[in-house]
Amino acid sequence: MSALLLALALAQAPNQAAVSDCSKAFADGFKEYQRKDLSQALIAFRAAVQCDPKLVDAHLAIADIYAERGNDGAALAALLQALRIEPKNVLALRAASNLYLKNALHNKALPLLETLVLAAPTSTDAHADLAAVYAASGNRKGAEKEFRRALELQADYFPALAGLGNLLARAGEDGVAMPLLHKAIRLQPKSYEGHFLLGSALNRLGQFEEARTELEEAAKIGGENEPQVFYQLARAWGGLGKAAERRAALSRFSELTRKEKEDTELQRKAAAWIDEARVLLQAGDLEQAASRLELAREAKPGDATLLFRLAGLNFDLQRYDVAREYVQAAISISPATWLYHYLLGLVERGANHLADSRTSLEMAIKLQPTEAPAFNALGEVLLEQGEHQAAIAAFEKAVKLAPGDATFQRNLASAKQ
Amino acid sequence: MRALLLIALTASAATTPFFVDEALRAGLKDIFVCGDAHQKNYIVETLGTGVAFLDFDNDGLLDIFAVTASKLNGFAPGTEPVNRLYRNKGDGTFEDVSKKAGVARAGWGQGVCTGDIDNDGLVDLYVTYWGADVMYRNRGDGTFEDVTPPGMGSHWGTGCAFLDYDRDGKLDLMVANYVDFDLKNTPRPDGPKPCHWKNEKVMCGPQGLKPGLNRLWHNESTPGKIRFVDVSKKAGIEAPGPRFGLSVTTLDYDRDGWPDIYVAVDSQASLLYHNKHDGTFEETALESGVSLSEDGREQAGMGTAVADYDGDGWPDLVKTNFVDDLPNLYRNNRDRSFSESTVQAGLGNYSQFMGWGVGFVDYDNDGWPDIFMVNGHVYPDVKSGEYRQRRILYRNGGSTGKFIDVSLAAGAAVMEKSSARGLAVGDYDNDGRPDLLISNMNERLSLLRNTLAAGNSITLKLVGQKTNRSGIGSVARLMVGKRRLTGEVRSGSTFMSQSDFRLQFGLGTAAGADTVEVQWLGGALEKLGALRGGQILTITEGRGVTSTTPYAR
Repeated sequence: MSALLLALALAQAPNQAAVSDCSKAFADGFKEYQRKDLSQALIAFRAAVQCDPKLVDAHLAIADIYAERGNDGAALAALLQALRIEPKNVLALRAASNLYLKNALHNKALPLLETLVLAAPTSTDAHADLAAVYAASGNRKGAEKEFRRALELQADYFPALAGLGNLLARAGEDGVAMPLLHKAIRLQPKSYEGHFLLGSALNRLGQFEEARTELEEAAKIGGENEPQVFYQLARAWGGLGKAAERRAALSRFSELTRKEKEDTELQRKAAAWIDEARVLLQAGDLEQAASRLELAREAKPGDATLLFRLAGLNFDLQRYDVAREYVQAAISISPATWLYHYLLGLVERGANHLADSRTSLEMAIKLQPTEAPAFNALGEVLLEQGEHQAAIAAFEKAVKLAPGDATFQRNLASAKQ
Repeated sequence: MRALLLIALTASAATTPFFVDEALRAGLKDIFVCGDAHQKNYIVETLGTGVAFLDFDNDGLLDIFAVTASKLNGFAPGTEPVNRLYRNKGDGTFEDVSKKAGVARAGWGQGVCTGDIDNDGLVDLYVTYWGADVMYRNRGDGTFEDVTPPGMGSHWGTGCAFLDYDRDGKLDLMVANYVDFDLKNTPRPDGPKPCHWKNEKVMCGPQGLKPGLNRLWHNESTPGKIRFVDVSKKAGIEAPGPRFGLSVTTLDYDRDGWPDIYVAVDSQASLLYHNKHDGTFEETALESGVSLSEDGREQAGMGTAVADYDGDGWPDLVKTNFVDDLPNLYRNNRDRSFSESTVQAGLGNYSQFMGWGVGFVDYDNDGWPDIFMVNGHVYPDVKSGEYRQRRILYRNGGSTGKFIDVSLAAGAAVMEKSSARGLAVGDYDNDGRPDLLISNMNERLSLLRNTLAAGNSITLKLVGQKTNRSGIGSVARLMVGKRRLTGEVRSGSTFMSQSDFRLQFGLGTAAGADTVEVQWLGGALEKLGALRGGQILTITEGRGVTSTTPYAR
């Protein structure tokens, strides 16, 4: 996903915003976005969807910002929310399918792309993407049809030329495949993918010298970290009888795949550590749970949920400095999540930083004005700051939102006395 | 008119089925179980079981051993399915001798391989289990005794193969172990943390589970005492680390006279152990080009088979894989490496099949090894895949280098759908045409008798004297006109199954082989001159042809 999505979404925004009571929040978000303050923009857009949950453009804008920050999970959640409101929204379909493809979740992308080509039948890239997903899932017939449709719409569309060429080369239809791959390279000579696919096809045909040339070019112009390029290069060298060069290419391949595997394994381990932490937590062993989460964090440093959990655990252990560090890191990744601000408010209060606590709790309430515990916590801080009337107002709000909660009622009664 | 007649005759020949399922007529009615038939909650319910063709009573007729697993919720006492040994009565039927033979064991059986572990001229058995594997010694009186050495095979054994890796004349044993499986801690599809395949909830694994470790056992038996020692670490078998190992096949891929080992691995790189002649192996699959797909991706390898499909005298490999992928046909480059020729050879047309047992089988006796594959999905209850799948018979087009799918012409027995797993190849009616034995998940066996009246053949039974008695690892080379035919006796291979040890060579229209030579494993090269086809010949090491039996036609 790119800023293009937001631009497109915002281009439609005034009409919707004009008829909505929530236009101010959306407009605020737009302004912040233009000022490139994405955190503030996100907060404003979140406020807009709080105000009007059906504001599709706000969901799209949130998705865009999350995607830009690399938080694909949150971006997808926002896009799926938009699709629940407008199932044929072309922007949301395209962005969500792109995110799924980026994360190799082809099966999840497939229904979105199938809807997208119906909603936008003249979209070349939609047909080409759908073709690629069909190809990946073994639906050769579907893939070929969609690649050809994309090429009908745009005869010089590189992904469709390269994709169809590759598909046909794999099926042994070299006579048709090779001209397509050559044409793709002529169109984008600086794209490593074209050279890689042509080199692979030449390997299959036993034209190893030509394959080597293409694959070396692929490695030079962007494919230097792609293991498959080196695997094919090794095949070419092997075919040429160059054992030392073949070994070197395989060695590079192994090095690159090893790193990929290590990353995958680390992610797997992180998931296991999180599971272990949950069990330890249930058993009341906070120290051990925290140590498992810490291990998981090293594997997944950008996981806001994990950072939040760590912050929570350290808060329970009254390690406020550590807790603050974690929750602030979570907020920097996901600034519009009320719960993170709420926890930061509790942490600051624990550390006796009442002003900071108040700021965080007020932010949490702004983002999620329906959470009684946030109002209650704010009331407690205000009380400690000597602001009795404001504290009473906060407790009243908490009681109103959760009338059955005895603690909130007791706090309110106590403040009134 | 003559042209019309020719067309009519050709059409008739093409539509006459030449594989017929004789299982029911042969008395093979028992159901072989592996987990629930309709829903697989755990991966252990998905592998199915293996089958073997073996001549346990040395009457010259292939008998059948079939393995069964069980169900997780068990069976009422006395009704548990058991492994079966069926004796070939020579009239196209088999009798169940499992109980009498002492092999009617219940449990979660998986695979089987055979070999003469004590060189007494009687074939012995190894059966892998999810649980403790069992080694059976053939007593020679129609019964077997459990001689499993302590500590042998207590994991989740799958494929196995006997081989004499150090050429000391005694058969050693290689066993693949799949998953270090823990039923209690594996998520179920209906549990809180299910796994997904194409957006549907399915059983989990093997990815995310703990892989098993392959084991190599050295045969240190002495007369009267069976003893195997685990040499996996010392021999370098453990060096690649744990893998989801499935089928084991042995082959001398570099023709240095020492058996190497190939293990098809699920969801990870497959393994090729190169024999270093000093009791150790070096894993060389990546360098040799048989580790990954053509694109350098890890595959879900299932079954394997070896033959010289292109007639150059060097062993080639075929491997079956998961759905949405192609099988691999690896052509031997004769320089310790292989090239993948799957698509060029015509094996790239289907990605909807999940392949398991595979065998090179020269069904039309033209001297070019054809390929037979059995298929079936692992998820009976998903919408995105067909659980019961047909088999595929590919005819080797010989010098064209292409295989052609002739399944439809082969008949309903080949086109029949099942969730098949194990496959054994052997000529059970001794008519000179290879037949096929298939295990089907939670169903009876299929016994596909080859009825094709095409081509002459010759069958060689190799009997070692100084070298292992089963002849495993020994190679026969025939010249038939200008054609060179090569076959190696092997244990294991296909998918958790065992094919006939006898080497059957299609001769086409030739009356016999112009020359035959046998390279005994670790022994002499024995030249036998010309041999007539249409018969089964026993070749005993150092003594030439010691018996002949004409085909039963």
